[in-house]
Amino acid sequence: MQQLWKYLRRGRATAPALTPDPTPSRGFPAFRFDACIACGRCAPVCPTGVISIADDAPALVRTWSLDYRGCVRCTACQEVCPTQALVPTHQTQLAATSARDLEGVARFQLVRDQSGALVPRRYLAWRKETSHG
Amino acid sequence: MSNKLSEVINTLRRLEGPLQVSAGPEQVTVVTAAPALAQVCAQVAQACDARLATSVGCDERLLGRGFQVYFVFAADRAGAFITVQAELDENAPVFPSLTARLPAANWHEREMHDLLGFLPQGHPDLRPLVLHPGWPKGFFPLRKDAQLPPSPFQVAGDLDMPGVTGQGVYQLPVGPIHAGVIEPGHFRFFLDGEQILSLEAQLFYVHRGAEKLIEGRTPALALPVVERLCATCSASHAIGFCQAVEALSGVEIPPRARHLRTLYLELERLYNHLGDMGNICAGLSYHLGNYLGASSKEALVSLNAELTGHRYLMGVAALGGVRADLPGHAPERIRTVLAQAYRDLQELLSGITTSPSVLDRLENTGRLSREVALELALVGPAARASGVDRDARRDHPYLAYSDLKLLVPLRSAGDVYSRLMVRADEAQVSMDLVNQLLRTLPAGPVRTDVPPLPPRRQALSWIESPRGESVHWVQGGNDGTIYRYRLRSASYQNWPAVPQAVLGNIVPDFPLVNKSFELCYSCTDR
Ligand code: SF4
Ligand code: SF4
Repeated sequence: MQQLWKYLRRGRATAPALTPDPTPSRGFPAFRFDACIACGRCAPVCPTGVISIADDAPALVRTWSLDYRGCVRCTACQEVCPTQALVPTHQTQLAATSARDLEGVARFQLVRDQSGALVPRRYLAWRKETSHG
Repeated sequence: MSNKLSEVINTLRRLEGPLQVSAGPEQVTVVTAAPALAQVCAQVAQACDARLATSVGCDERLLGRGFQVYFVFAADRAGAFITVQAELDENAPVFPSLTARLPAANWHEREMHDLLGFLPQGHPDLRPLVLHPGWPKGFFPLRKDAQLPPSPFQVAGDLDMPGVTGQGVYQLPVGPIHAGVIEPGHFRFFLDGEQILSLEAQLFYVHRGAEKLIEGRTPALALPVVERLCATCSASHAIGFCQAVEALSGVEIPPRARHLRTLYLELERLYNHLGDMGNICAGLSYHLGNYLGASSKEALVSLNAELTGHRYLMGVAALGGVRADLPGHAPERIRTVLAQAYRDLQELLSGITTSPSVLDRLENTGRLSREVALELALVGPAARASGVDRDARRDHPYLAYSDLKLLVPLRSAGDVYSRLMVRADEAQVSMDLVNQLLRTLPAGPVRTDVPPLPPRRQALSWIESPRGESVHWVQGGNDGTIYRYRLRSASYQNWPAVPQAVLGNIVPDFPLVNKSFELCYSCTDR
């Protein structure tokens, strides 16, 4: 009886989730499209290859996208981003009604510089249907 | 170079047979001809009092070296690792099997046979280990020229399980899908009434081809894969892999990073040991013990999340150090949580040791003799519970362990109770180590740069994970990427002990015996 009373008094072992969360942020990265310069550094460091950068040269458009379904929250992309366009969050849950909702896509206008190389000029559009941005 | 190491080298130089001996820090390499491999390995093991630590088969044709096999031995008392290396004939990759002389080589050789098509001649049992029925003949995934077949394989045919036959002997198949949320494994019991006469286990249902996936990746892109080989030892795996890469690139990590890595490793051991003690209680239906273990584990993984952002410590290790420093309030929080964990542990132990019905299930159950533990070259708590005094943290110190006062608890009975108590003792040692680390935490940076992998060289690293010593072997390719990686996890080394430990026990004790080893399917399989 004494034992039982002792255990009842211990209360719950699982702590409630804290908001705002004081722990280091290891959630899905949020994308701040207005800070992104479309440099493409984040794509090759992603271990699961879910960030992609693709150019449509005739249309002069560069498309950046992140498919959150394959993100393992490793923070590698955030470490290399020169403009903090990818920022850490506490969001660790994925739930959506459609796969499309778990993708972030941004489009950038390209211009040719003096050497003829294509460089991004400004962002055109951002589709953010995910709750993780 | 230590005296003991030069002794080992002198011993090796005196061995007979065609071999060349070369030495680096803590490591010696012996190159021999394939036909002499088994004999040289047996001599090395005997002369240097060494056990088989890992093995690697490697298709080095793209490095201009043909097929190679490496058998790595650990001479614990000399603190040295000895690699015996031999090149195999490209057209007939055959070498004499070690298994008859060194039973610990059994799985290692079968795996090379399955995945690389190397033939260990004279092996007593060459049934497939990793591959399941239905796998196409002659397709060896770890060869560099392996072409993925166009369609997935059909798993067909029955498993080949020799076992025991006789009047009244019957078979009881269990798994691969189990009632609880545990990993898949098929266990076939051969029984006389309730008594287990023989147990055959078919594992390797979770083969993800991780070693193949890692080939051609840079170390930075490989690290998250290694870390996810299993969740319960993720910090050990990640840090072990980083150590191997750093050894290869000749990088020394900053002192603070060394301490922090050690701290994370001990926190990992702690949450595993307390959780595993709870799991053992679940195996014997001692529910109070189960809940106490689970609530301690929960407190410790929450602490991990608070310190690092991840409950299972993923992403804490980075090449060249750790990813981030501890938050400022960490030492205080760690001390508080550990003090509570200590009290919980005492309570759990007093519950176990004062309850005759609990002790009755634990004592004398699943006995594993010291002889078998030595023959199978077991590691970790499973070895130490059978009186084999072996701990990589003390025998081959790495990170900050040489600066710490480390006790290695030992038990001799080899039963479930001993394996439980070794964990209890080790958990207390870990708490002490964490406190020592917090007292001596040096200041400074936590990460340094790691240059690209040097080409065509390999390195070894070892780490005492919660389940025992794991060995990582990394080889660089021609272009700064990984050419071959192999993890020999503690579970891989210890699995063959489970069918031995259950012999003569009754079926209802199997879950208990199995849980007392608490082996992981995932990192065994890779
Ligand atoms: S956090 Fe890691 S896995 Fe996720 S998008 Fe960034 S690099 Fe890729
Ligand atoms: S998110 Fe950062 S790294 Fe990636 S393209 Fe934009 S600016 Fe470059």
